[in-house]
Amino acid sequence: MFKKSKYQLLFPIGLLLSFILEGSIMHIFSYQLAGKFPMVPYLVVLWLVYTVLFTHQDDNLHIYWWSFGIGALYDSYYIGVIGIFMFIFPLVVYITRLILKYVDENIVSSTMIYLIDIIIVLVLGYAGGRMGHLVYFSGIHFMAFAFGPTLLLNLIIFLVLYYPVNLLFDHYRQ
Amino acid sequence: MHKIFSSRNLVILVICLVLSIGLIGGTAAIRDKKGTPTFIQMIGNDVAGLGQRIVSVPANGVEKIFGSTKDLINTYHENNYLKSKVQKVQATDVRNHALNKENQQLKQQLDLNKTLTGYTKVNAAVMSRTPSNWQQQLIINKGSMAGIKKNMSVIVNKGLVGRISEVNKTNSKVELITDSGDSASSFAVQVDDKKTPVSGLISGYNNAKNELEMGSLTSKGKIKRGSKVMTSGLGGVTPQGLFVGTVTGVSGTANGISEQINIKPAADTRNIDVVTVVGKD
Repeated sequence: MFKKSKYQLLFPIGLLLSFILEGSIMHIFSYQLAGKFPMVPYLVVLWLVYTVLFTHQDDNLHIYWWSFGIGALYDSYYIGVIGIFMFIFPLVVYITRLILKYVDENIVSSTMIYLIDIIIVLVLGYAGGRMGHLVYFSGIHFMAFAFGPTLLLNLIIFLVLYYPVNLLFDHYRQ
Repeated sequence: MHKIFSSRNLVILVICLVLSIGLIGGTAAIRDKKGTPTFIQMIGNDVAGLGQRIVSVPANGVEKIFGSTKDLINTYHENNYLKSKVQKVQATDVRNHALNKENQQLKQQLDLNKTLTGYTKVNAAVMSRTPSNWQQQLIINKGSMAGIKKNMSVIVNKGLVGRISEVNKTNSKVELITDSGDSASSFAVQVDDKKTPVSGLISGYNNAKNELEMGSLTSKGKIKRGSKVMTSGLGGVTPQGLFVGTVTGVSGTANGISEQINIKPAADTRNIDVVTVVGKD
């Protein structure tokens, strides 16, 4: 019972923090991130995937509802049009869980899963933005300039934070 | 064996897809028409803005430390340069003052209170930037409570950077001039070079070169490199005379029919901390 409540505190706090930090980091490093190769550190996706990787399904975190809610806030606060990341974030959680049924969790498989997740976020996010008439990029341009660098940046962040976050979740496991 | 598309999942998927498309369409339409979003959305935005404000204080502090060391190195050169500028500025200031007075008197005489150059100003700090690689938006820390309205122009000391696209109670979103999505309305600008100025619209942004593209030109003609581009005030949304950038060249558009003018933006949209929101009275 005690274990459960600790995760139930850690997960939402981390989620909200990563949500706010995402915008702040984007602003502070805007010269590097919004330059010729537009990159985004997807910290919310990162935290969701870490949580799925390092906790069990029976921890009862209501992760789908949280991802749905934070997605709605993300759309409203950052994008201005609701309905894009609201459904992408739960989808990412679902896909990660689905793949975890077939493979064991370790750093290599996790990286691969995260890679798939980020590709989903990028492609569906772009499609959603296109539907809302928000995009200033053509699709080819997006693939050429934004896709690769964003993938690389997120992979690096994932690998750098993998062990620290793993330790954090381990620490609250007892 | 677990099936990926069990009928239950399929139903959920379809419902989500329909909801998603509906919501995107609906909120995009609201965003185009009205300045303020729906009530619930506004509460969420304001609460999120509050959280961001708490985090952004230490975050901006860290940034300032890095910035100030860089500034220190540049100070000497800057000082020399500025000294040479000060005298000129003083002269211009005096002249401006005189012209301003004269302008006011003339306006009074002509009973012209609402001209294109008269506008109100609100200063605001940037809280965050949209974490997206297909949209360029800032979030600033002033909203409708400070008198900000939709479509007001946003400038930094060097020139125009964008316009207000959404207003909440305590924060608002700025659509940058480099963001030329379909829903973004274009800026009306003119090149101040020849006797008859060339008017047009900011129609796009070249990400690789960091250049704005000005299309829908009113007349063809030789335009000098380095001539200044200002907002024309046409359309009645943007005030007249806001500096946009300098011309770097003229080229054919992608469709090969018309010409476009390439503009180097005066303000670096990748590095904005403080902005001034300008609107007509």
